Amino acid sequence: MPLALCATGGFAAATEVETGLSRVEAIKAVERLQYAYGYYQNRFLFAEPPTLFSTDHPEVHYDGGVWVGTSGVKRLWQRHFPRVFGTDGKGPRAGVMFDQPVFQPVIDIAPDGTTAKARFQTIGRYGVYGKEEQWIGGVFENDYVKEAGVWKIKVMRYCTSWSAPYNRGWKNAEAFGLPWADFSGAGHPDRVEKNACPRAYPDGGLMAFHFVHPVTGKPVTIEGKSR
Amino acid sequence: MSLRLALHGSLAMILLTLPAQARQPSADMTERRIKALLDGNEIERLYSIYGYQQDKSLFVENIDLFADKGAAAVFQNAEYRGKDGLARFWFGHWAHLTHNAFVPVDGLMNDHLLFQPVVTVSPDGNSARLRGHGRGYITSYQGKIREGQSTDGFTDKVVNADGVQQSAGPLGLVQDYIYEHRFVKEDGAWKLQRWTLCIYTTGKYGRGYADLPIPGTMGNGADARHGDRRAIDMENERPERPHTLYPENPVGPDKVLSSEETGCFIAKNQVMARSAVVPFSFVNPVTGKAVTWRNR
Repeated sequence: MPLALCATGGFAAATEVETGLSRVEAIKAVERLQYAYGYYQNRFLFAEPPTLFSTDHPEVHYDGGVWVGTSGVKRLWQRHFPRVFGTDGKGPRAGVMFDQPVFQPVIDIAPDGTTAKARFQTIGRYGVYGKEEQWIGGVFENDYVKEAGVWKIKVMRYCTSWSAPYNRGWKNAEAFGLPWADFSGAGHPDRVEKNACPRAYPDGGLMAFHFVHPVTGKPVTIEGKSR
Repeated sequence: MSLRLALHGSLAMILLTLPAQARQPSADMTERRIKALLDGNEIERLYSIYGYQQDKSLFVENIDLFADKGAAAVFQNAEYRGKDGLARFWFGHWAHLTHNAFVPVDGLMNDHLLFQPVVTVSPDGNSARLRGHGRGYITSYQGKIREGQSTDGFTDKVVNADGVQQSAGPLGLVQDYIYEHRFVKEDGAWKLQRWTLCIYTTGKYGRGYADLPIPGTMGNGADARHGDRRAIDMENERPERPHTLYPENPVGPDKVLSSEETGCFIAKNQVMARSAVVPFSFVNPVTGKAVTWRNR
């Protein structure tokens, strides 16, 4: 690319520089947004995640619960998460841990530079002091949008891909009743999509990739493959 | 991350090959944007390199990551100032684990996975902050480090009914960390300036962070009862090795900071015992406002 710039020079090259530069800035902005989300969520600073969303029809799909629109997003963090974690929603609560570090980004900016998709992985722990602790593995597949120069989350999709009791490990991990998948109480989702997430371990499943295979250029799916 | 690998070369090339016309009205702005990305990339790189070196006991090399001016390390609220302070800390604290070897030693596992860097470069491009999240897997084989030298590795400590500590075999630890580092550009190169580590959860590998008090282990008394752990943790809030300040203690820190200020409480499982947040070096990326929390 830089060599081509040397050869062509002039206005076209300047445009190409601008396009490439904007793309890298966008990738870093989306990464920062998701990492900031992770730090806020880990410490139950539930006033913050809703601020990271677009106000134009945002959605959260969280282990089968679907919260729609700005009011849905606020309800999730103001009512649902505080209820299931037993917090006041204003900050960390001693004795309850839901710590999900975020890593392994695959971030793709749309050609027009105004929307993006990204996949992230997390391996966290859910724990209640003196009672229980679970490993929680999960994947995010999110949509982002740039509004007035600021990148925001448009649709957050999170699926727990496996869980296991901490002290017994994952060899024979049985399904864990995810506390945040109790959709019946205050802050409940607008709808529940039972099959929105691939079935968690020990069943096999794949949360769909937003990206194509980087070498073949073809989508990678498990549809139609013998199992 | 591939971006991290690729960024420096390709952007630097773009910077070098920007054609003359591109340098007209917005060229300065373009150059600033490229520099900001390169700076951020370099700081993420330093963060990662520190971790790879620390895993392998390369303590001399880690001290060499620091700037000469204003260098400091804060470990569990114990602040060590200047390069002399760093030497006291790394050689007096970490090298204690390796019996003063500054290379990987047989029997020690001290691995740190570092991720989730959020970098904020100052407007003048001369300093930066980074928040990071780390996970550690730590143990010493059979509770010994360097066969024949000592058995004082990561051994669990039993406190018997008389309050006497005894070794109780090997201890595998799993820990989570929050880093808040400051970097500075010195002589044209990015360097660490103020390194801050808070271990906010630590647990026995086999039992995790939310475990019940195990009488006699991990600092719990032989008479520990179900439900005691939190009280015990909260009472035990001193830096890992109780600190007498330097120079009275030849390997001691210059100062011990307050936990309320740093968000780093020394309880073994801070997230279980406290409502604490290590203050953020970055503002909310959408609202632009600082996110604060009063530690208690």
